Amino acid sequence: MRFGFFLGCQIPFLKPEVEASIRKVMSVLGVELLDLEGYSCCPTWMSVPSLDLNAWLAISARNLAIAENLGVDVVTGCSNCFSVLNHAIYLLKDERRRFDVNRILSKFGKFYRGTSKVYHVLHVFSDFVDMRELKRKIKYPLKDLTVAIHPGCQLLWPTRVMDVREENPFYPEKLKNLVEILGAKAPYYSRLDYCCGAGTSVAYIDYEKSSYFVLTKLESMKEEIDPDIIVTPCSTCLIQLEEMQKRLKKDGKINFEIPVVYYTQLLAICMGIPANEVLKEESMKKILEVIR
Amino acid sequence: MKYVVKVERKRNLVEVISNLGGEGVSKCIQCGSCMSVCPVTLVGFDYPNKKLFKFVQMGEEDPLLSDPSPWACVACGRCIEVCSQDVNPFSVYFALRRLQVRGFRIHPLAKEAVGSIYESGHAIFVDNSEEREKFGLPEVSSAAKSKKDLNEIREILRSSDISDLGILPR
Amino acid sequence: MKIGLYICHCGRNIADVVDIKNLIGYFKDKVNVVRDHLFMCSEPAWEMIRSDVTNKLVDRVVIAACSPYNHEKFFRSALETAGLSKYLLEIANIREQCSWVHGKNKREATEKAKRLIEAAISKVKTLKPLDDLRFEVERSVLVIGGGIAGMTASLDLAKMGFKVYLVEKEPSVGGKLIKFDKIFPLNDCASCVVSSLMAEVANNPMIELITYAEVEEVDGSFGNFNVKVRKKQTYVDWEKCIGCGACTTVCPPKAWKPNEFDEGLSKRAAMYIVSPQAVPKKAVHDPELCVNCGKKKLGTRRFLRGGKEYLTPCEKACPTKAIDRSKSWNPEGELLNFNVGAIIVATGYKVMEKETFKEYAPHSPNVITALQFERILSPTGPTGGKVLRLSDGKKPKAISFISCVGSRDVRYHTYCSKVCCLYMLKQARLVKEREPEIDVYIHVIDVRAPGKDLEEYYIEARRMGIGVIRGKVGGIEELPNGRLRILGFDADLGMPVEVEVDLVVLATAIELPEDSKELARKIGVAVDPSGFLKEDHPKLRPVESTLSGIFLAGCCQGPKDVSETVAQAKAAAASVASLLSKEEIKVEPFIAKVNEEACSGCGICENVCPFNAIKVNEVAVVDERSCKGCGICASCPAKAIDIQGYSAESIIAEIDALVG
Repeated sequence: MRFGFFLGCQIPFLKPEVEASIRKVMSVLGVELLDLEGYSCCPTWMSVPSLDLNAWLAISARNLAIAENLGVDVVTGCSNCFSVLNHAIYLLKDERRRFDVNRILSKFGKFYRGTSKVYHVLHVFSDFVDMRELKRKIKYPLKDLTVAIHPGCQLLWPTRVMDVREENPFYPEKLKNLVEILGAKAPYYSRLDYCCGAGTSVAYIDYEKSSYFVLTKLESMKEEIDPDIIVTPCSTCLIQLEEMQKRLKKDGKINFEIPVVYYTQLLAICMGIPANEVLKEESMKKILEVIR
Repeated sequence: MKYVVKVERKRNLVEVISNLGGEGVSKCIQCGSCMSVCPVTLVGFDYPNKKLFKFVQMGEEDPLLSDPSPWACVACGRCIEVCSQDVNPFSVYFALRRLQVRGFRIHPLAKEAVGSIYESGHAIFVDNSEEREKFGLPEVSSAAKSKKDLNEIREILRSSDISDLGILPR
Repeated sequence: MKIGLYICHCGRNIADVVDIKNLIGYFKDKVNVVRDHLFMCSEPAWEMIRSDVTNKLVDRVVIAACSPYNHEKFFRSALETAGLSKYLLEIANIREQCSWVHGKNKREATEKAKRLIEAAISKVKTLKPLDDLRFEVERSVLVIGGGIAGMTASLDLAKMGFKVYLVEKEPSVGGKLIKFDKIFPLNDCASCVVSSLMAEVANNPMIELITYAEVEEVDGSFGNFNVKVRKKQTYVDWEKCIGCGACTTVCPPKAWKPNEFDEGLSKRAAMYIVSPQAVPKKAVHDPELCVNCGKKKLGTRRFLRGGKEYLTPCEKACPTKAIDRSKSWNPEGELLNFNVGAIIVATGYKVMEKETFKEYAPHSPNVITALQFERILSPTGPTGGKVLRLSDGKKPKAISFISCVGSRDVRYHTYCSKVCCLYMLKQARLVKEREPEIDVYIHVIDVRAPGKDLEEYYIEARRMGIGVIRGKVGGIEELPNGRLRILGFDADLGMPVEVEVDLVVLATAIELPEDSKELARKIGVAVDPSGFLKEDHPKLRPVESTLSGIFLAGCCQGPKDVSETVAQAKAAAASVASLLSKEEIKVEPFIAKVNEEACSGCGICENVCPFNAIKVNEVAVVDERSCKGCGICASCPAKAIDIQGYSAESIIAEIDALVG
């Protein structure tokens, strides 16, 4: 199994430990990840798509054309890239838009055909790898661990732009199943679908408003399932939930902090990959305390 | 507070928004389902989507040009999933950003992000090669390290409407 | 031959686009009389045509106006009154086929109008006087569907002296209404409204009630349809069954399934009686569900066990020996065959299932459809009419109703289901009346309550303290302990609203069931884009289907409340009676006509006729009743067959004028 690995910006530059966990886990499962030479920002919602439709589609199409040349589908660990690229593919089904975009790309010998699909890293485990195979690779199953799962909006909606979909996007199952395979409990809580408050911008525009989401979400988790750890497949949510908790605690709004990990970090640890290869030092102690 | 319908000098904003990539705004019947799940609405921005759609339908341009709500959209896409009239509220929100941009109202974050893409190919770019090495990761294979690829990105930006906004380096 | 041309302005519909003066000038010398009128379908215009014919100014009439579908019969009557064959008339459709579609191109529209009129003139020249076909009428009616619509229409017709065959798919009549508790706007008991009708249709000597049966085939045409009805096998001897229900109580739980009558909220056994009020009150056996107690499958020969003949619990329980599993029952049931003069389709509706609506937590047992809640409110329902939620049998503290679930939604149905607002208000009021301490909220896009007493009904609900929240619900979150959090929007306050409740009732859309669509295909009735059966004209022929002799009543034609359904059923009955009360019916003579001298008797026409309407017996003979005038047989190699009114000569003349 081969995919073009679309790194994006956030994961390689801010969360390299997440990238490391993805690469290691994939290699254990025998999934080959090809680098996309010369790729750029997807471009993220708060950048080019906010300014101009054609430039957005051209940059997205350029990224996708790189994968098309390798003859592979794309996999990305970043929900934002997943969303932007899939929206672009959706819009580029329109022939006129495709024509406009290719007129620009042809200047540097590139061409967008629309042949490569874009998946999220999570989909590789939920829809491509044999679940039994995945289970066999788990050396250290989790016991007595309650996980609050947070799939993140951009992985769920809108289903019309995605190739892999949840049966019911309002009550998603994929992340839950993947956490349960590790031996942990992943009970439903009512704010499971609730936005983390980061998205493209609220977090930067208004701290008060943004923290309201995190507080609402944490409250529901705490009251309803009292989790040991939060697991997410979205790097933006990961950063938001980590940073906001620190800040809220400092401001005296909460008196606890629930550790947060990216799904493949937890998977890697369960596979027996040394924790220091997939976690940053500052968060390692807290997380390992909870897991062990 | 009231707004006055400009019967005489109304712009066809439905068309303007549609040309900027906003899909289906004329189909909105103000049912409210998008508003009930929209994060922007939940945290109390003044003119969450359906209100702005109404302004678009009524040809009332002023609030559209100045309201910060569209910039708060988290791109969660939930509005598209629940819309009963096949409007793509999310796309309209982004079209409204583009409308404001053409009136030179660009959120500083967006300006910064586009500038960064022009400079490095990435909206977020830091040199963390040491840390990456520690995790055993290869060099990032992006346009950031390839002049040729970066020039392609720059060419795309320069040949688009963005070049008129005065935010790209000369 | 004297041709009169009459051009209609249709107000401004035609005249705004087509240059009428130009037309008059153009045709002045081509026909004997040219006249125009603002509204050709008005009485003065009709009189103008009639007097021209009476005064022998014209003997062939061409009317340039709207589609013949609208007023052809009206214009024909002018010719008939003046003593001319009414079929010496041709209509050029210069509205739908010209002015309406070429509004932006006036000059070319006028030219096209000329062509269309010239074609009509060329055709009218070839027409021959024709007389209507006259057929004897079968003075009986088939009514399909035993709900309130079908029963009302059947009783009205029976009272007027017509024989009625009332066919119902379920083992009992009563339809959806018998499942309800009370109905708006009087909050009178649904059972009281419908039970007496059920008894009447069962006892009226003019009504032959055929339940647990489906229409399999309909042949023939208006005045004389041949109908085949399949009476399904009940596996119970209904002659002997007294409806005591003893068999239903001994049937083992292994053979239970969700009870359709309670919308799946309770269970029923393989031996069952539809409801306590069933008419006829007879037991039915469901062989797919049966566990074959004592391995005594249907049709097993009698055998001994412990020295005695073995009887299954149901056999043993039956006091009249109506159940006999050793009998070899025919699983195909029985095929009934009879003739009727007209048909009324009253097959009703279904509501959408909640599973479609993923954002509304359909997996939660505390999210139910309004029809399910109707059963909870009903004294014959699973809770005996107590307001309880079924997940734990507890009384809810708060209930939310959600409207427009599948209606007014382009993902499902664009139409408004019309009755939801009011039945939600009704259900909310019934809850409030019984349990005032339960909080009730209704989420609506807007409340639609037009009609007599209905706005007042709504206002009263608000005064009773029912919370009406304007704004469509975007999602439902499940809370621990089975509660649900409604993610709503309050348009009055312009902000999102969350409500935590114990029970959610979804007003899911009303739609035409699949099997009704299948029936429509079978009998040739059209379905309109909304998915309901199509009426022939929404204003002028609202109870007629697109096929003559077949009428519509009730929700199969579109969502409507009980009052409207009854009104439509009575209208359908009256329309049927007005046609069947005559000794004979007149039918347009546009059928195949054989030129016996030219016919070689080759038999090709017999093979190609889709209606078995032509037989070769030395020469071809047309069965006037069955022929639909489709024209397939007119492809006769010997050119021996023509369709009257549409002869090859007429059609060629028309084409020549159009392309010439």
